Amino acid sequence: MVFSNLLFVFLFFTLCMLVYSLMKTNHSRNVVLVCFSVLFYSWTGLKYVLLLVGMVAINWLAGIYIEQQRGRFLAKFAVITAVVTSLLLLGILKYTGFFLTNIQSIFGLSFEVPKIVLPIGISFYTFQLLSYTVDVYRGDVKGERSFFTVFLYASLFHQCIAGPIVRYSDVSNEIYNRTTNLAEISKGVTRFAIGFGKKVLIANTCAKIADLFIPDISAIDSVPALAIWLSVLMYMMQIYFDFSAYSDMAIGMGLMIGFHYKENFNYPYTSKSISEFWRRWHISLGSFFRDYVYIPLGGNKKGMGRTIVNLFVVWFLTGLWHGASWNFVLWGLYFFVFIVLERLFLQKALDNTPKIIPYIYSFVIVYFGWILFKYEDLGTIGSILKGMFCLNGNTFSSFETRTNLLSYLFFIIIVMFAFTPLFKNLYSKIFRNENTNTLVRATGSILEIIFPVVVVLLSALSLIGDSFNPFLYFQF
Amino acid sequence: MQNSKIVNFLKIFLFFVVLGTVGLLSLILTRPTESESEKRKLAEFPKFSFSALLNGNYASGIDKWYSDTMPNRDSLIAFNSKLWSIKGLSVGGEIQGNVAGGDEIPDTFVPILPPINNNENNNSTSTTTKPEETDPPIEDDDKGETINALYVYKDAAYSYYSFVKSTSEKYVGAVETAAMKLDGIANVYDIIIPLSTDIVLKDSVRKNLSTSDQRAAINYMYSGFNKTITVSIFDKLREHRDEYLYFRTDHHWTALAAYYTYTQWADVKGITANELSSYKTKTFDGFLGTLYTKTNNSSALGDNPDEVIAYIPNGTNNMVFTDVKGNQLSWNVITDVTSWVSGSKYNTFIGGDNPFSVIENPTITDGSSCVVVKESFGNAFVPFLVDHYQYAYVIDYRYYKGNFYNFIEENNVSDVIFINNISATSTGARVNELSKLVGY
Repeated sequence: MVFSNLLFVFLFFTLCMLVYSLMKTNHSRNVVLVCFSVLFYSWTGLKYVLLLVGMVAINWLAGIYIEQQRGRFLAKFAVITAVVTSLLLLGILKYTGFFLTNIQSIFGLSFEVPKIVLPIGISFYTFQLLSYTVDVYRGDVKGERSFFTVFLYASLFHQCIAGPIVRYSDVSNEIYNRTTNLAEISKGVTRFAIGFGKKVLIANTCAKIADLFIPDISAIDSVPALAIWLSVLMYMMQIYFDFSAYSDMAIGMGLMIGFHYKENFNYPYTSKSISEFWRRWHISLGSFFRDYVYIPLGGNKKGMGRTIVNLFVVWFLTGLWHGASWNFVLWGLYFFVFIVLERLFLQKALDNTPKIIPYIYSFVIVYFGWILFKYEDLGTIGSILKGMFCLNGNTFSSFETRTNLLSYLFFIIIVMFAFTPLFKNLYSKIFRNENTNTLVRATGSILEIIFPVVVVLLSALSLIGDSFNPFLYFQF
Repeated sequence: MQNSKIVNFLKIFLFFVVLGTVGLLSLILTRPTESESEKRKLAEFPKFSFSALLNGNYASGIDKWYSDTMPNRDSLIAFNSKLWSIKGLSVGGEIQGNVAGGDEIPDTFVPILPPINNNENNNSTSTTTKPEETDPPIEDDDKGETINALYVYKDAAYSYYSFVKSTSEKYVGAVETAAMKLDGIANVYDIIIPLSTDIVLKDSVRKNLSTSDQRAAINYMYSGFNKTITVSIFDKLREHRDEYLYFRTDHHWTALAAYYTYTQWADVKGITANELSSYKTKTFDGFLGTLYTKTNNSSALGDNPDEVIAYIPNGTNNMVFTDVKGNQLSWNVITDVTSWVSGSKYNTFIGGDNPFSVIENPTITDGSSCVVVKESFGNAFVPFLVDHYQYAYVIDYRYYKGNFYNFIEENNVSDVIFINNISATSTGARVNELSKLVGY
């Protein structure tokens, strides 16, 4: 199941909250969460639940064993075994096809590459479990005796399939003991609705527009330049609103029951450098690689040369994590290049430019990055880049491009503001100002009350509209 | 400044009450099983199987059923599309769907020899298989005409057409194969029908659209025929472009356009066509066809429904068709569809799309007969042939399962007319079906 699904919002989530609120003790509440999480996860196929249970079991056992053998060699052995086994499982399930096709092309071999269906969320929960085991080994958290608790941590449907990658230390106390209050539940409700709306109303529409401008990638050579620019821009927006929407919904659902997940996105498209972009984009992934790869490799403490090597490793892995294909690796290394340049001289240079330049620089670099992210084939990427400057023999614009742009004009303009904090700030300024009069404050309160419901209902309407799928056959 | 307690409480309360109410209503209200406007059956609740449960198909089936069959979905969808109309401006029209670039139309047809040997007995019904047969199996299960992107301008929608060179050539090869196999047995005619975009859309608007030139595409295909007698109707329809030749809310042509096509065919055949005034007419209003649906029930179209005018053959209005299940039904050539739903008025012609139909004209007793091999555009054309033959047979090549050549021989057919809209000639699934029928 995914969050942007009518069944999820109106039945699954509602029922979960209803049953949850009827429970009196913390333990029974946890049982409810585990039951619903298993149901949620089994929605993608019951067999994947077994895999999840297995992964949890490996890391849970390792945690216990590390506690018993603390300080001894066997503890190290346990952590290495758990990490290697988990990564191996992730590797086999996610990267076998990629690995074998590369072997084929390098050695010119031909054999059947098995098609393995990637279990949903495996990249996320594997990383959560890795962080758990390593943290236990480091002594940052205590190895958990109860399988149930570790399973709840890894499988909780809030974040199991699309992040944020929650650390055990962030939630371990709250698993045992958490409280809620009206203000936080209310915040959670709004956050959940914002996420749902971002996904359904904004991201899905951006995706539609991106396809409208480049309807057929195999015919990219005839697509007008303006259409390519707009398509990539809409894809850039789609990715952000889609991904951050899941985090919003996770954070919102957490707040409703007393879990405090860390923020995962912080207006990344308003960054002033690429380094900053990665501190604002998918924060939980960035910090995972920082804490479990970059710093253990020595970080920036071992001289410039070593720092660059460490950064290379991190960005190679970051790219590969996003998908089993070279274009993702290329995408990761693309950022590596700019981050290194920034460390060497670019950051200083940017600091001396007019205020707007660093914003534009980051936006443009990230913008072009998404082309690498979206298209797997290097030839296609080349054609897109050429087409953007009318080098494919294509025109700059066309009647269809202008017509499509006009028919989504207002939407596009709103989206171009929606990735900034503008709307949020405007709201605070107008309605959250101590000095405003009662009428404005009352309006603010009414907006506050009806906003989540309106957004959720509009999104639901949109999802029903998506099921509109005319079958153009004359009789039925 | 924090929210007051009461605001927080009301917000949470309202939120969960609405979620719960919608959830509950979605379970207790009656769910639709088919959609009138989309002309399809909606998703059904999945059948349980253990393997489907294991691999997730069972659950995704439930998801699909739940969202596809929401109570009141048709009105909710209409409301949603109304809300979204504020997304931008629609001056100068609007484009629905994705515009696919067509192939370039070459000047000269490179002849592709049909894969049969001319010395071979033409009556042979065995289909020679070509060794280089590499066509993918027909995956497209959808028997409807594929509608490409649409351009909505004022109160009408116009289809884009993308010329696909290989498919168009295969179409020519298929019809030509039939013509060669039937050489000396029957005349084979081919009619390719242009779409409204190149006939009735204002030239100043049409020139903006990136859609393939239909006249050039038809000329290209026609230049590839040798044994087949082609009937050019493009210019004839252009002459009458100010008349009601195409529906504005449906992708089909009107019976009037089919009439002009018939007169052109009669010229080619060398017979005298009936005057339009000789026919009794039937008129059905309130027609909102496929283009209306495809534009998400656009109100520009919905507010201006089409009118279907049908001409009843002078000889008879009776026919018999065989449906896909093999049942024979007596029907009318022109059926009264006044009480039928707004989307199905085109079905007035020869009972809609059926694998096989026969119209026997009792006023002619010379044993003459013709076969029309068609998709749904042919339905409006068939009635005009009735007055010229004792038997007019209709084969819908998408559904017909019998042996084509045997049928023609057994029934002494003298004229075989292939009639297709231009979009079908560039649609792989259609041309594959046609090829299968004629053994190409």
